[in-house]
Amino acid sequence: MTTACPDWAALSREREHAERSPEIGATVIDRAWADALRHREDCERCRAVSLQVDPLLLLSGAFAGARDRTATAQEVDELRSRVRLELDGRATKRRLKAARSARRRVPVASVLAAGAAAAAFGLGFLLWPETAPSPGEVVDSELSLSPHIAMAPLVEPLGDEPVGVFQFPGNGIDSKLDMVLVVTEVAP
Amino acid sequence: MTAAASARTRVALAVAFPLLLSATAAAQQEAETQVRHAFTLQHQRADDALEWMQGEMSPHGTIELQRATNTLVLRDARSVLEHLLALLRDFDHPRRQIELEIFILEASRRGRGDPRSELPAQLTDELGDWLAFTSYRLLGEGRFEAMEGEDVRFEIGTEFRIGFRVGTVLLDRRLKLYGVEVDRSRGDSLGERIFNGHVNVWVGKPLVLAISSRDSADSGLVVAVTVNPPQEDDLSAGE
Repeated sequence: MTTACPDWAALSREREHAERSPEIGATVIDRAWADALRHREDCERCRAVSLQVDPLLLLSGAFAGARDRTATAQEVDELRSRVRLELDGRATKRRLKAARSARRRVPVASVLAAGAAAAAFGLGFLLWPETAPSPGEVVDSELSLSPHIAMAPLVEPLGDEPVGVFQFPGNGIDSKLDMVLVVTEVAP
Repeated sequence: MTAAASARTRVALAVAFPLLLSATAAAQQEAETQVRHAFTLQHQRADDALEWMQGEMSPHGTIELQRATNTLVLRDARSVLEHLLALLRDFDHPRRQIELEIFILEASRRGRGDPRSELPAQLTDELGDWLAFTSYRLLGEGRFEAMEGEDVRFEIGTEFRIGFRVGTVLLDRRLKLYGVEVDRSRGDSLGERIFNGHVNVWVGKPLVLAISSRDSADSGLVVAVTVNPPQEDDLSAGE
């Protein structure tokens, strides 16, 4: 290996930028990227660093360097756990975002109420108690599962508590199945 | 204190006082505009709805269960109450029939078995990714129908009995199975309880309980439950 190891983080950033703005030197970036991938085929260090920068690189390029099946399996395991964590993180962010937007109602209402109250302080006593909205008034809004339902635990043990209940982190709306590991005192 | 500083203080007070007054008024206004509404459920259980509604209310809201009349009394800000009532109207749908698929497998780290001939592809494709077991043996399976709110008990295979109360399907997506009990009988012995708990499933997605003993990690039991979407044609039971 004669060429110097590339800066994978910088290269990845430039490539990402070039993908968003194709008019900015995309050809140069592509060439540098191709060179880096070729370099990586023989460079063990670059293989590790590039996967840290972009785990999906495991799926591209040929690795001509000496590797055994154990190393590959380990890489796949690490990649899988990273993807799972990433998916879990995205799902959590989505739910938190939904929770935030649901709760945003209250501060907005407070601000509006502050203005109204400043103008008509005391009038509220005369208006209270109001009547509830009639069924006709209740608009059929787009209903969605709230975060506390979406994130409800899959299993709630009763009676004799098991030793442990582990909900796998990859579980979520996007997964194909939900997996819960229940560890008990006695063999099932 | 200089004259300038004193003037600044007066200005700050002049600005802060109305703001404080407004904020106090806003808080009072918010508390006072709470409205009360009693919702009597016709089809589903109010105590099940209570569990769902509690998480939807504002911090100032209150909810009261009147079990004798299957009624929830809600008190909250008007805008929140409108949302709660919309949810409750969806929740209180006529009881629907659901279909359950249950598989029970023995899993082991010894030997290699190919369960593909006996199990749905969706399960076999995924189990190997999640669990460290190398072989699976089907001990029992069943497809059952049940109504929302119904207490059910099924025999699965020759050894297993599973019972629970079916909850209410929330927005066609989530369903709680209350008090799931899985008992196993071996030979002439009485059934031994191997699982007891509430289970929350996503409709249409298998929930897999991998049960193993702390002392024997080489084998375990896999209980896979899938709830298929309610059938729209069967809406009669709660009417």
